[in-house]
Amino acid sequence: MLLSIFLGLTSAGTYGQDVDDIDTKFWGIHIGAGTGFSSIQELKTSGVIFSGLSTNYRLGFGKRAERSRFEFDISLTTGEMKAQTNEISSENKFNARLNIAYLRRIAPESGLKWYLGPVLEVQGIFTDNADLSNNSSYLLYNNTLSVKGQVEKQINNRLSLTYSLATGIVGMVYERQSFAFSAPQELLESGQYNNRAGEQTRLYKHGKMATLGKYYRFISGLSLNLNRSKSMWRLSYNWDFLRYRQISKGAITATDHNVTLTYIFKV
Amino acid sequence: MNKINICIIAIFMLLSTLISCEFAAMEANPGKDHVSIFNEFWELFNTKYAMFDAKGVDWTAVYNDNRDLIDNTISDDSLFRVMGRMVLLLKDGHTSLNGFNSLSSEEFSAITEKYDEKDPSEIDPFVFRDASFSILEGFPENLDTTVVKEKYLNGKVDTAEGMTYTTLDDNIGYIVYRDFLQPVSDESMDLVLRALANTKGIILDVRGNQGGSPAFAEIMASHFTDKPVKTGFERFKTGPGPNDFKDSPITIHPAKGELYTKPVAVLTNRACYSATTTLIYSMNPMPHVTFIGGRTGGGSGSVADGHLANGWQYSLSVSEFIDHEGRHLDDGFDPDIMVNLNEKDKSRDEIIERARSELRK
Repeated sequence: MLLSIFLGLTSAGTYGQDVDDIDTKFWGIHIGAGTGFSSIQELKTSGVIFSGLSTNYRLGFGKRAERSRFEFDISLTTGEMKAQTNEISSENKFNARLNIAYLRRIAPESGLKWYLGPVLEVQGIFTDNADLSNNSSYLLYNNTLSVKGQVEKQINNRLSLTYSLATGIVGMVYERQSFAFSAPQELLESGQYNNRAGEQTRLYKHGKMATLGKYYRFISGLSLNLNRSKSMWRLSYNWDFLRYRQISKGAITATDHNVTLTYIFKV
Repeated sequence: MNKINICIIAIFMLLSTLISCEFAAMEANPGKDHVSIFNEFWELFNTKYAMFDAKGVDWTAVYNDNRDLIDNTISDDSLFRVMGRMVLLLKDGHTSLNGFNSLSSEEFSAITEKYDEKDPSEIDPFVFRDASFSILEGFPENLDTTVVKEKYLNGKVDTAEGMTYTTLDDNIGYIVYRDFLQPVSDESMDLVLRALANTKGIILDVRGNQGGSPAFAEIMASHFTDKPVKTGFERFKTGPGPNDFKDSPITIHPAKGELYTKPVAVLTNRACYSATTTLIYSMNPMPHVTFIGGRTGGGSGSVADGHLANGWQYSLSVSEFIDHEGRHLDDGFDPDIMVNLNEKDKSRDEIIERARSELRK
C-alpha cells in the first residue's frame, strides 16, 4: 500500500509541478510511518527466535545541502513477536532510536553524490512477555558511534535514489540480563548485586564499552525520494541489525526490516 | 548497461549480503521433538540451576536415569511426567515446570470432566501439566487469621501500605504484614514506627507471607538497626560451568528515618517464603531480634523463568543465599523459639502470646 501511495505521489509530482520551483537545499521536518518484519533471539534466555510483523514511526528534522547532510531522527519500531517453535509464547518488542547524523560530501567530481560522516545513536531494545515473572522484560540500551556512508543518484529533477550503510564502530552497551538472571552480568561478576531497586538499572555504571567482535551494529537503507516545491516524500526500506555478545554463547540478535513512507516539510 | 543499472544491482547485492548475515548471526531454533525438548530442559537446568550441591542432587545421574524413558513416540503427557518428576527432585518451591498453556481446549475439557467430582487435593497436578514443589506439605499451618483478627486486631488498628498495626494492651506493638507484593517504603515504616515508638517491644507477624519483592524486605529490615548489618551473601550462577558462581555480599544499612532498636519478635511459619526469607536473614544477625513460631519455608534464591521450545514454562533458582553463619536457607530456617499453634483453641494464638511474654521480660 505504501508503494502505491508513493507511486501515486510520484506521478502527480512529476507531471503536475513546475520544475523550477524545487529546492534541493533546505531544512525540513519529517514525519513517517510504515510497516515491517522484526526478529529477536536472546540466547541467554532461550534459543528460540521470536519474529513477527511490526509497525514503525519516525519524527525529526534535518538539513539537505549540496555539500552536506544533517539529520536528527527519533524512531520507534514495535510489534508482537511470536515464537517460531510454538503457538504459546509471544512477546512485544520495542526498538526505540535517536540518531544524529552529519555527513559531508566526498568525491564531488563523481556523477553520483557520495557522503560520509559520523552518526551518534542512542538505542533501547525492550521486550515484554506478560506470561513470565522475573524474566518478563528484557532491556538492552546502547550509545553507539557509527560511520555512515551514503550514495545518491539523481534520476531526474524530482526523483532521486539513495543508499546508505551505517556501521557501529564503538558502543557503550548496557544489557539487563546476565547468564542466568535478570541483572547485568557485570553487576553480578563484581559482587555488587543487592535487592534494592535502582542498583540494577544504572545504565552507565554497568554498561560496557563494546567494539566489533562482540558488537555488530548495522543500519542499511534504500530510499526513493520525491522532491516537490514545498515538501519531499521518501519511500524507504531500512534494515536495522544489532548483535551483542557479552558472554560466550549468550548473544542477542535483533533485526528490523522496515518499509516507511516519510513526509518532509520544507521550512 | 548504464551506470544507474550498475548502481542498483550493486546496492541490491550489498543489501542481500547484509541480510544473509542476519540469518548467519542467529542460531537455528532448538528442536521441538520430545528428545530435543528433554535435552533442552536438562541442559538449561544443568547450566543455570544454582543449588545442586546444596540440594544433594546429581543432575547428570538424573539425566541417565530418565533419558531412556524419552523417545519421540511417547505422548506429551508422558514427557511432562518424566520432566516434572525431575523438577520435584530438587524440592525447591521456586523451581517449577508448567505446561498448562499447551493443553488444547479439548484436552482441558476432557480432564475437567474426568476429575469434576473429585476433591481438588486428590487430583494429580501432573494431569494439568503442573510440576511445582509444595513447601507446605507435612508442616503445621501455625496461623489462624480469624483468631488474629478477632483477638488481636479488634481495637484501634491502623494501616500503612501493606502493613496493619496496633498497640496491644500490654504496650507491645503489633505489625502484621502478609504479602511482600504489597509495597513497603521508608515513609510507611516511619509512620508505623513513629506510632509504636513508645512501646516495650514490637511483634512483627509475617506468618503466611509467601514473598514478593525482596527490596521491600530490605527496606523493612533497615528500620530495625542503627548500624550496618552484614547478613551473608547471595551466590549467583554466572556461567555454564559447575563452578561458575560469584558472591554478592549483602549489608543492610540503617534507614535514614525512624529506627526501632528495642526488642523485636518476628513470628514465622512454614509459609514464610522467598522475600520473607530475605527479611529473616536480614534481621537474624540483629541482637535485639528473636524469631518465634514454626520452621520457615525458605526459598532463598533469586528466580529466572522462561519457555522451552514447545512453550512449556519453567522457573528455577539461579542463586542461593548463604547467611552470616554459613547456613543455606533454601529449605527453611528454625526460629529461636519453636512454638506451634493449638488449632483447637480459638481463644488465643500461642505464638503471639509467647512473643508477648518474651517481650515483657
